[in-house]
Amino acid sequence: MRKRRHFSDFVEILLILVVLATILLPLYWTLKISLSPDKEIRSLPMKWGVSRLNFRNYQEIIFSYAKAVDTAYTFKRGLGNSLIISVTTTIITVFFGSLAAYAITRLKVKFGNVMTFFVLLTQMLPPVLLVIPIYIIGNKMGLLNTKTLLIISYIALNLPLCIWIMRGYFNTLPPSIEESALVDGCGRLGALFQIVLPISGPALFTAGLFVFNNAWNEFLFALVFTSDLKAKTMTVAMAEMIGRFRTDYGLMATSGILGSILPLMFVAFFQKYLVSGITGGAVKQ
Amino acid sequence: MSKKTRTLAAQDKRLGIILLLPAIIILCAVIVYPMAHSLWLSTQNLNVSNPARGREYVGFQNYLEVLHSSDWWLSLLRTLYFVGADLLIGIPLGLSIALLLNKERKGKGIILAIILFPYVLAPIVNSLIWKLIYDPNYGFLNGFLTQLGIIKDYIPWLARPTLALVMLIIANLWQGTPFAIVLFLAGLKSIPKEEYEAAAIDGASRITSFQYITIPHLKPIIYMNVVMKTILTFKLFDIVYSLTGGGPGGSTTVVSMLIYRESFEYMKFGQGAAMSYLLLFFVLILVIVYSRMFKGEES
Repeated sequence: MRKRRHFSDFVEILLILVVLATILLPLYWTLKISLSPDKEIRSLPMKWGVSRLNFRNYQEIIFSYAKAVDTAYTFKRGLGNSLIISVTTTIITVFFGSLAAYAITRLKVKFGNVMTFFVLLTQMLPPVLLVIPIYIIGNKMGLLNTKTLLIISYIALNLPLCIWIMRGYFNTLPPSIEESALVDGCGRLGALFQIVLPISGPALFTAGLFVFNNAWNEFLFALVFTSDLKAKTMTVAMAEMIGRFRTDYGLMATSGILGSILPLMFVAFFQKYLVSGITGGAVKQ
Repeated sequence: MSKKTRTLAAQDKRLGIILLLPAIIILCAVIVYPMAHSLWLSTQNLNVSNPARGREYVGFQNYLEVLHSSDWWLSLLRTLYFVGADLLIGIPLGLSIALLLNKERKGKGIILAIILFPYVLAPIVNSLIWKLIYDPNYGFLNGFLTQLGIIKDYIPWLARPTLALVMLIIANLWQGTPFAIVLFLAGLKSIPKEEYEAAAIDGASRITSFQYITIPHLKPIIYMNVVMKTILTFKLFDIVYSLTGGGPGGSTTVVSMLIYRESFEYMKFGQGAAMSYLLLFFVLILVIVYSRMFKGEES
């Protein structure tokens, strides 16, 4: 019996290693290409490692400058644009999202069902259905190729999710928390800003994490709405590299690594929040 | 109710509406209004090739044209093939891996973090990674399979019409399965241990307790996975656009790729809008069918 236990444990660990290898190998390969000397990228037979580390691709992107308008510089600017767009989107979405969630849970505004509908709608809608009209309207308003149009779009796409997460959290707070503040004459707004929001840190953070990552990774809207360095995002710059007829694999792999640092850091440090965000809606139902 | 509390309630309500207003305005401006605009567009012929004629109302003509085109039905079939493969492989795979991990082990946190890696990456990064793996000359897949002695000649994975869609499905599963694993893990955690213990005392084997305890408890999670995977895969665009561009020979042109091309390469916004609504309609039908199926089984 004991021996059999031992054996099945061994098989399980082996299977887990296979799963982990399947996940890590593609990432390792990308990292390897980004650090390979140029000659080794295009040499056969395939090698698992690199003869020496080569950081030229990283330098090429990080120290690229405006005069040489090339893929490296486009990507660097794309990273900057993506950062501005994602941070702005996150702050505005989480702010308005928590106000709305507070109104729904505490102030007896009958909007909860409409909100649930919006959450489902934004999930189910094929994004192209919105991209076409927003492109036409944005064109008329002169907003094409601006960060503003992307920020506005991303706020709307992420608001329902954000309200959903915040509402779930506010529902777990006992109303007595604010009541003392109300008695003290703080007023509703005072109670919201001085008491409720300060203790909602984990929920605000979870919502922010998801909004940021969604905005950082979005592609279709950015592809259609932006056309040059002013607003092009990191994902669009990356897609241009992938689609080139003669692709510089070293540079392309490096852009993939640089564009993934933030999301991977989220997993490394804030795994708990990500898991609670994924399962929060699903398991409670 | 005293007068004071009544005015307080009225104040609350007014404040509530003020707090909701920004969200409502944004959602109306960026989601509701564009949806209506899209619906209107789908009844117009914009005559992009002949701007002098301007646009004209054509009723359901765009919809009829789409429904009569083989391009539409072929791309819908490809999408359904994609969705089907994703469900039939992705859900059992996600459940198996969740079962494997559903045990207190050393390093469980690290394992879970690694499993989440693909989930947080941009779909475009996913394309980039698989482009490097599928590359016909220097890619990892050909190199690895040659080293193992499985293949002798390098295979152009994305250049063969029958293979390309399969390779996209694999790339998509790599990114999509972690979500299923996390959901299943949460579901498994919520099953009371006592039920398994009681079953073990009654002499039930692991397979029977899986069949009669695990699966029934996980039904809502399975449903959730089926719905989410269907919705996400129907929308799939990024990896198709950047890995194959819909080729070779149209063999990977899924619906959203077709809509993108009609709208932004041929500038046929009316047709694109009509197709988008048809796509939404198909997804809705599927979701309704699913909920009937799952509810029907319960009763």
